[in-house]
Amino acid sequence: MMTWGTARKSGISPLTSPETVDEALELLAGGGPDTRAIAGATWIMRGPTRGEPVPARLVALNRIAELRGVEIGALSGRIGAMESHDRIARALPEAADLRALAVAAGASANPGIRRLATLGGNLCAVGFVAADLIPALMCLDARVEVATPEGRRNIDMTEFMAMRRAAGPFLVVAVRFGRSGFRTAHARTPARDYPVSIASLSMATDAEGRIADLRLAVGAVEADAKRWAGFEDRARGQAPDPAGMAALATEFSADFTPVSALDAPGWYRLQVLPVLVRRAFEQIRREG
Amino acid sequence: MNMKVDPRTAVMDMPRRDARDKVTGRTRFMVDMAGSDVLRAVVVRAGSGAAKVLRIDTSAAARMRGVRGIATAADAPQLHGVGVMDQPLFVRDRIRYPGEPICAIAADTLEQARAAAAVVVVETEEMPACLTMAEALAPGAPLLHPDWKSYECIVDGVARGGNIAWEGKVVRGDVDAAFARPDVSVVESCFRVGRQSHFPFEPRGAVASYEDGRFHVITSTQVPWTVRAVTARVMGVHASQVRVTVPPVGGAFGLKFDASIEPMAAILAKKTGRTVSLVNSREEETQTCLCRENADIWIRSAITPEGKIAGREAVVLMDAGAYGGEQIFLSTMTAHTLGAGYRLESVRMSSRVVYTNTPPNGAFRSCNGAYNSFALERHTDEICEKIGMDPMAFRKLNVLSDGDPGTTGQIFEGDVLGPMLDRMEALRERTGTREHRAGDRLYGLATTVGTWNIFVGPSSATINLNADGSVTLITASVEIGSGSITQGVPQIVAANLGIHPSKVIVKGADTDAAGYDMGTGGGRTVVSMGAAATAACEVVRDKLLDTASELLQTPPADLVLRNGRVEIRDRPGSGTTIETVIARAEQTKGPISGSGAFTAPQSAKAMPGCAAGHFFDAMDLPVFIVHEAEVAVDPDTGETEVLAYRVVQDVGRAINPRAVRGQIQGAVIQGIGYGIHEAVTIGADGGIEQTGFETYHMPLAQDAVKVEIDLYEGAPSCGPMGTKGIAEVAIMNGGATMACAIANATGKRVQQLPLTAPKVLALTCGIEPVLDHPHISRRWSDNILR
Amino acid sequence: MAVEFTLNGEWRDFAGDPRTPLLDVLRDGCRMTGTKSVCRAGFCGACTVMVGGEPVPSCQRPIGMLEGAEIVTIEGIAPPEELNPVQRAFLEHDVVQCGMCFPGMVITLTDFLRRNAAPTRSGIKEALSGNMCRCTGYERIIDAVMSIRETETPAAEAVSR
Ligand code: FES
Ligand code: FES
Repeated sequence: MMTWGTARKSGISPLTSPETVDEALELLAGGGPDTRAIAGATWIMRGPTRGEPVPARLVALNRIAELRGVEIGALSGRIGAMESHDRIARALPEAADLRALAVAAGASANPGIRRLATLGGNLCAVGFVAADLIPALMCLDARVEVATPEGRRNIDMTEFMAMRRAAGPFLVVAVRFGRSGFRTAHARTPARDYPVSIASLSMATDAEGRIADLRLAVGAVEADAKRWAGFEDRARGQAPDPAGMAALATEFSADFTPVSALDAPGWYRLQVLPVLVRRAFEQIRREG
Repeated sequence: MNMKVDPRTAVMDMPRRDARDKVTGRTRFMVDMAGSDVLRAVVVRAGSGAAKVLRIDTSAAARMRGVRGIATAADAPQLHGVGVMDQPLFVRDRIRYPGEPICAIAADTLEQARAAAAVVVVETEEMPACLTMAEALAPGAPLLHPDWKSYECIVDGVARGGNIAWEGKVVRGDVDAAFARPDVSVVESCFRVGRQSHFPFEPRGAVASYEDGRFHVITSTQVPWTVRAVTARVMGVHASQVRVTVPPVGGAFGLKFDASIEPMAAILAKKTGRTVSLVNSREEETQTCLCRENADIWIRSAITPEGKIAGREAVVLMDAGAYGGEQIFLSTMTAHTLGAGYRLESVRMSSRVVYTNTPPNGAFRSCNGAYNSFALERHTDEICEKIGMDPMAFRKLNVLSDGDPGTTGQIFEGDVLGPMLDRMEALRERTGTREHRAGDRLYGLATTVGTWNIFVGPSSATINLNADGSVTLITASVEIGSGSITQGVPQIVAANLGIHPSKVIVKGADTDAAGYDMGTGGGRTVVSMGAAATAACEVVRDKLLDTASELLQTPPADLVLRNGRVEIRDRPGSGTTIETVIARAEQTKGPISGSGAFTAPQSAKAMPGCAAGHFFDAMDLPVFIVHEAEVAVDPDTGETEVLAYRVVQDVGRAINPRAVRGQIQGAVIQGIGYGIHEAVTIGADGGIEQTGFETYHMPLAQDAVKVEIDLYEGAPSCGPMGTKGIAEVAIMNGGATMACAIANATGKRVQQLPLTAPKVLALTCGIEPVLDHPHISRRWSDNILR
Repeated sequence: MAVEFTLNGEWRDFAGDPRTPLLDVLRDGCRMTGTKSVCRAGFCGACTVMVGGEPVPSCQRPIGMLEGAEIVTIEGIAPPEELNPVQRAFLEHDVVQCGMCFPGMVITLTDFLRRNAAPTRSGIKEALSGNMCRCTGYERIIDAVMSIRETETPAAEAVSR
């Protein structure tokens, strides 16, 4: 038997492990201002190295069965918020429309972190610029099931990115997406560890081989990943020629206000973006 | 007497004795020694840079729960330093850099110590700061040390003043005349390097206690005797009151060549009457790292039509940070690193140590050399480009050979670098090149040379012979991971005594047991401690043979030590076991033990009057390297992949070739890190911006490449059995070779390290500004104090 | 409200702050110091332990999330006085330098070999991207692992404890 640490004063434990979403929301709402939900805990636990102490109260989500599961059907898919990058990478079937997500889940950070860090954590870690899953999910046009004390909502990724900074307790339950005939690619640099620029692409072509529809999401350039609507609008109807697409990306890169951080200055993130766009189109072309 | 030990008997791939515990997690490093009976301490550090201290109040902290003692400036009255005593243990009237220690607090738990640290009151008033060397050298710059004249300095008459903590210079021959020659081509280059952080996996720290009126400091250091001296000095007690012991060290690379927080732990131990553990957090370790210093270099050469170097002049500005520290000593190295390698008809160099309001820098594997070789080799390639000469041909024509004078006029012995260049070509022939692996990327290959000096210097060793035939080797050398004291020195002892190295017990460093040693670093341990141990072996060998001679009725001169026996020469298996002789000696003369000592042979001499402000004028033991790299640069992202790396290294004699290769592999990857991955940046407050592994990027396994190594043996050496230090110099040309190869790949003028992907992309896109060092005068004589 | 878990096959409990990283519970609470605290941020891997059969950085695991977990550390990766094949290969190839990274290296690579019977050099390097070493320059670590593949079948027995 070990005893360690100082005696706790308040009745609420610094770490609670609810079994249901409702219970978790209650704990989050009642825990006071310095209460945070943890999933894989990798962002919170390394907080002290960023000068952010571990919050006073943690609500661990690992016992909530509803947050689990990777279910990929012929028409749609659902991934529970508590699934780790590693589990997602291994559970996704080999399919062109899921390739970007598989690469994002399988190449992020390092193996140890991939075994811990979850989908939900990736979605909710405000301040974590290098999140790989977010742009990949944007390309899938995924919808996020969010639970709040007021009830459940299914919102798209753009709306989610705005609401994740909002006050008030919420939990990500799962993401859902439709299966499509789109082909996808996830290009990032550097190829290992944490990226400083990400282009995630999904695309469908028409009978003439022109771009019928596409989604291009950009991560690690601005504080939050986003769909590049300006690029998408102009690319539709064009040939998916990698060099041409890179040129287009260069032309419209003023759409971004890049962040500068120690791992890369803002100009660099932007400068390599057209290259990543080119590589994403090349990957798709290569894989037919 | 003449030992006549065949050095080949020392050569073997002996495994490491410490490896088993290290792979099973049993090794107890300093950081593993804080049990429940040990107080935990933290350092309270200045939050901002240059400031005047108005008030420091620790009274609230002292009342906090669990607090057992607080060490403050009042407990450490004396200044310390290397060469110039300019540094207080704790801040007094002014703060000179962010992170400077204010006080240290010991409490029952780390959380309690941290809570107390948070309530220490530090009232300050901001002062003008110098964040760069250019600012510090500007006319009218605020002085970091207005009282510099009052500081104790170990030598008189050294040029220093204002924000220049130290100046070393060397002048040989008529440089003005060389540059005035009508037939020479003049090539001028400017370079800048950032800092490199060691990131030893075990941070700096100490566990201290106060026992029977003496301090006992268990620390993770390379220099137990320095820790002993500095700890005593700052407290104002006699050095004999401090005992320093050193468990296995979890990585050092030069960072642990200075005392740092050990005296704080010692003060707290005395004040609390308890054992105190004080260990830097990773953030503290990173932000107060005594980094390889950033430096600005200007170099100009006059090249004859035949491609010879008629004259060379250079100015090297070394950033000391807020206190002089190791840079003062290392300023001497410029003459032997930037000034090395090539035959110079005339030369002058100024090597200046500059104070800035940034964290102090320190020693890092191939100190000073790692960036001066970058400057020298890039300059050499710029010369070749200008005069249209093949870089390999230029090097073969100009590298030092037997009888050539070095920068300080020292005459070099042996023709080493030239043959090593030939060996590199042969090695490349054998391994082939990897240009085909570059694909669409830009391919570059570069070959560079480097010179380093082994810091020989005082060491002492004692050897006790045990009745079971084993021997105990007592030294103050430390196992820092290099294997020198767990493999190299025991192998030398064993060969001298005709036993297997496994029979040599190595006592962990303890200043109460072993005699003085300068420290484990600078590539000196196998050479200096090996020589001291060899001298000790001679003593015990004489005693052994003396007794054996009585026992075997044979004159000592006819006896040899071999296979754990004392044998009659040329009659293998004759004689008796060493145990028998030891047992006999115990009865007749008493147990056998002996001590030996070594210091620099002082045989290398500089030309009188060449050098000023130098800690040594000539290299006691030069070592040479030739490095070659092939790189592929991605023009789209600026990322560099190292396709191949080859090393020809002057090792004297490799007594453990496998261990030598392991050291070279590790050092080269660290050198590649310096070249292309690792960046320290200084923020607006003068502090280091990186906080740990997230923001400081060291090479990962995927960045590594298997180094092809050719060990060049047989160059002259004063080391025992012809050995030289091998682990220090092996990092030296990592940065140089990356820079030259990337310059060759991109066709761009590489002036700075590190060459991280954004830096390389800026170069290839043409948006990197050209560096021209306006703070260094083009008239060399303006860059020296008069 | 103590957290209960098994550590190298033995039941343990911990009654301190449940936010405490497993790393500190092991080192300070249990005084098992084989697991190293280096970056405390999930980058270096020196703190890697097996949790529920997977190697993870223990600095990133609040103990409160580990109720009922099976934890195996470097102290339990092989029977006392025995070495597993990874440890043996490290000794045989003179791989070790300062040694601080090796407990984590052993855990990660022991698990890796169990899952990858015929690894490639690049596969091993990818597996080590969260296990850093400041001393060795990695290649000899890779050599050692490759030699295991050549000489013996990977050690399933060592991690199954
Ligand atoms: S200490 Fe946990 S990964 Fe580095
Ligand atoms: S051996 Fe020192 S960190 Fe790996």
